[in-house]
Amino acid sequence: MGHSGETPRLGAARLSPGTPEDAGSRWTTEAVVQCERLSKRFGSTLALDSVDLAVPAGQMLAVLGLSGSGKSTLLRSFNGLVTPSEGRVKVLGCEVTSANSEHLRTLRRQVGFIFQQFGLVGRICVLENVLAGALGRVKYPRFGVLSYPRRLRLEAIGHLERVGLADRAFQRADTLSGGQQQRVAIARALMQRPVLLLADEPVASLDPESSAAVMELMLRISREDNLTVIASLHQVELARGWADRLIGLRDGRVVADAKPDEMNEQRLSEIYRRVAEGKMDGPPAPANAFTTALAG
Amino acid sequence: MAVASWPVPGRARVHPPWTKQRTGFTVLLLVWLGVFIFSWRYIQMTFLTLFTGVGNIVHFLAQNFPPQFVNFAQTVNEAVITLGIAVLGTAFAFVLSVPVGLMAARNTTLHPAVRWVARAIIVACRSIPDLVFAIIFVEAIGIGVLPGVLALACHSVGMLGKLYAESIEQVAPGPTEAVKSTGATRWQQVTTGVVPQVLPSFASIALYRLDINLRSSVILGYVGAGGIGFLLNEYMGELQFRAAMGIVIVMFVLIVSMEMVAAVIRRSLIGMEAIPVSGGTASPGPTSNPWWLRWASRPRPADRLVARILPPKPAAAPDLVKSGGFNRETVRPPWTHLRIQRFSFLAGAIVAVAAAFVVTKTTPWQAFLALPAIWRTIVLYFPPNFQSGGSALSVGALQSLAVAVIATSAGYFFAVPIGLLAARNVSRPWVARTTRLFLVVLRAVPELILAIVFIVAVGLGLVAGTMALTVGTIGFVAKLVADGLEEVPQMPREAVLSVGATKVQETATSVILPTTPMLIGNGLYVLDVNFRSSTILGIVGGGGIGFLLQQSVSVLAYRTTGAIIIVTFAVVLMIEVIANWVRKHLI
Ligand SMILES: Nc1ncnc2c1ncn2[C@@H]1O[C@H](COP(=O)(O)OP(=O)(O)OP(=O)(O)O)[C@@H](O)[C@H]1O
Ligand SMILES: [Mg+2]
Repeated sequence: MGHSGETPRLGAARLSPGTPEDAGSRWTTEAVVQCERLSKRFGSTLALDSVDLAVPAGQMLAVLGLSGSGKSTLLRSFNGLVTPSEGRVKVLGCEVTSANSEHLRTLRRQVGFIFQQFGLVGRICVLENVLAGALGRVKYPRFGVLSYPRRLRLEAIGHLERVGLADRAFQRADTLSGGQQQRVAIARALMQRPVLLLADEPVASLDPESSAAVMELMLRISREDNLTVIASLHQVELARGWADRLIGLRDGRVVADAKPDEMNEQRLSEIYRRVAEGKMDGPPAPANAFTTALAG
Repeated sequence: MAVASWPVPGRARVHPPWTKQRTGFTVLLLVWLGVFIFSWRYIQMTFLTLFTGVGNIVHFLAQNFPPQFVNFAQTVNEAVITLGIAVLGTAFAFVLSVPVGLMAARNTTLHPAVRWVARAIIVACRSIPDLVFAIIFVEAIGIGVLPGVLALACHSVGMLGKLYAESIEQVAPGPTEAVKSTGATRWQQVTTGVVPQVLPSFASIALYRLDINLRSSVILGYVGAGGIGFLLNEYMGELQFRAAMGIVIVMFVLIVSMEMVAAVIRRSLIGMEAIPVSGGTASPGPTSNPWWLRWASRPRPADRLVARILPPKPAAAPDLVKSGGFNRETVRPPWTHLRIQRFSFLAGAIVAVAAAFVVTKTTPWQAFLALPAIWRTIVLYFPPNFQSGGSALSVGALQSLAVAVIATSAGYFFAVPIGLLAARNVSRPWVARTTRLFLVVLRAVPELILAIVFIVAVGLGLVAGTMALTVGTIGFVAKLVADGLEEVPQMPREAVLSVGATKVQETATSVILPTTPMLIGNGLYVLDVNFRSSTILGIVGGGGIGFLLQQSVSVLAYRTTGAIIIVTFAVVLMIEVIANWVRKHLI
């Protein structure tokens, strides 16, 4: 299994103009991620309600919102893990809503996704987890580290070095601490050689110290590799520190969209408004202590 | 002594409300009681003959003592072949069950329609007893080892496929979704995200099945499917009972040693399992395992014995490889303890299967070459002829069902007190130990042998078959009871004792009560197993539908045999549907 096993990347096409059928719409070509009237319904809950968003290349976007406001659903619909009920989503030139499974796979290869729960396969070693990031580039199912070509193994070790875990390459993934596991997940995302990085509350299950470290690492690497980043977060202050732009979701609607310095108390309370004060129709979602304090 | 002012009982409701569950439960018990009484009268069951029968057994044993080992070399050879058949049957079943299980699991199947087909295959394989498969295959490819192997393989798919599908459905979805998000194909998602998570439970389930298959492979020789049962059948036919007893002893040793070996392997598997959890929440862990998995991997007496012989290992040896533990140029995994263990397990399995091919003088492709002949034979059984037996068919099915119902009820009746004796937290340690030992011995005797013993005692027929199954049930359920009791937490026990309850009251409230739902839940499962076994026992003279089966097979009435198989299948399916319903709604 060598270079021949690799499928071509969409890379070149990602900034190409839209197909003729897009002619009438207001799709812009520079945006890496773009969605129009995006809605997602789960049974009776409306998780996303007509979201319009365009994220230009290189932007670092933080998505804020209470628990249940639709952050995960939004991020997941950007790489097709969630199929929208209505609206259109275009990511890296690929129309996610109408893409077939082949196109979706090609898209996902270029989009790193960091999960709150890491998503590592616990029983296999760290290196094999990182190598899983290359699955989109190789043919056939793989069993064990040795089933990947040496070139890829070397590359994986390189990514592990970047996240500072090369010495743990052959340790079982479930023997690592939470912070280490998330760094392995970052290495796996790097293995995809992504253009876009989606991170869904990447540090929500970590303690404050390791969350700062993991966040720092993720953003430093993204800057170095010039990635577009969309991360959902609960910590407003943390988001203000690195993001170029913050958007706030509430009940599936975008209720705030601002630069970090424009994100004032009033806009924040729009996002985190306490239930007692607001006129909500949905069931109340509990805010954590931090956001409640901010909103109050 | 005047009791001052206790609250006077008022009109408060002190009766538990008749919830749907409680009503259903009562109805279930009443129905069972009715069925039991009907069954008892239907086959004119009695345990009284056993008292006179004991004399027969003692007489029989005395007359044929000591056991004889005629042609010991041949006996050992046949025992080794039996082992080989069990190993090959399990190996074939494993190879077939992995794809079937993947297709039957909701999260890995290709299409809902495929899932239903896979599930239908699983149910069909489970409800046709291995002996019936053996009969069909012997007919198709002649007397020999291969039909035995194929019979075990086909029937085992029914259990392995089901349990594999269930463990695949239990897998944590997070890792698979993460692999999907890297752009992996469907199959890559399965092999990287699912397979590593289920492999250890796949292995331990297969090992458990090997244990069962060894017990069943003993009987296959009776229908010409190879192995030691063939010798037993021969000696019994020639009334050489001493020689037959010699064979029984060899079988016993074989089964007990298999259990020991399995215990050693299980121990190292559990060692590989140990997950040193540190911080991460990546895997929710095996706490949510279904009852059968906990049950299949529960510690057994042999495990304890092995634990005593082999020195304890330090728990959970994480694979700590320091930098430099591997070559930075080649990036090959270092030979850590865990990797060596995995490799030796794999190598051991391969060697065992290869050895089994050698001793049974079979080759993998023989199975494929046999397929056309098997197909030609299966066609002979269709269309099934329900007429020729007249009412005999429904009578036989009812008889077998009645046998199973009585054996299950009577087995539970005896098993609960024995289980109480065997539980260390209920009875005295030495009593528990002795009872446990007794149960091991009881379980090591194949039901076939039990049937022969009871036929000697009370003569051919349904009563002997029922008794054999009852004893088999006792061995199985008493263990279940004892294991269940030992899992009961200690805390409530002390609370109940502290209110001044007697030891017996305390045991009833805090130990037996919590285990009851599990026991009843398994009751229908035991009924299902017993019905299938009663079919098998009919073949050695235990009556019921198995007797009809044996008759129709011996006169080559294929289409009648086909009808019998279909009726058996229907009854097993019916029990399964009822069991699922009960488990879902009442327990
Ligand atoms: N697979 C699903 N099935 C049904 N409802 C879902 C599903 N996924 C999300 N929802 C619902 O959609 C809404 C938005 O969920 P989402 O997970 O996107 O919120 P979130 O902002 O990520 O919350 P959190 O901060 O707790 O992660 C919630 O009401 C949730 O219950
Ligand atoms: Mg979320």
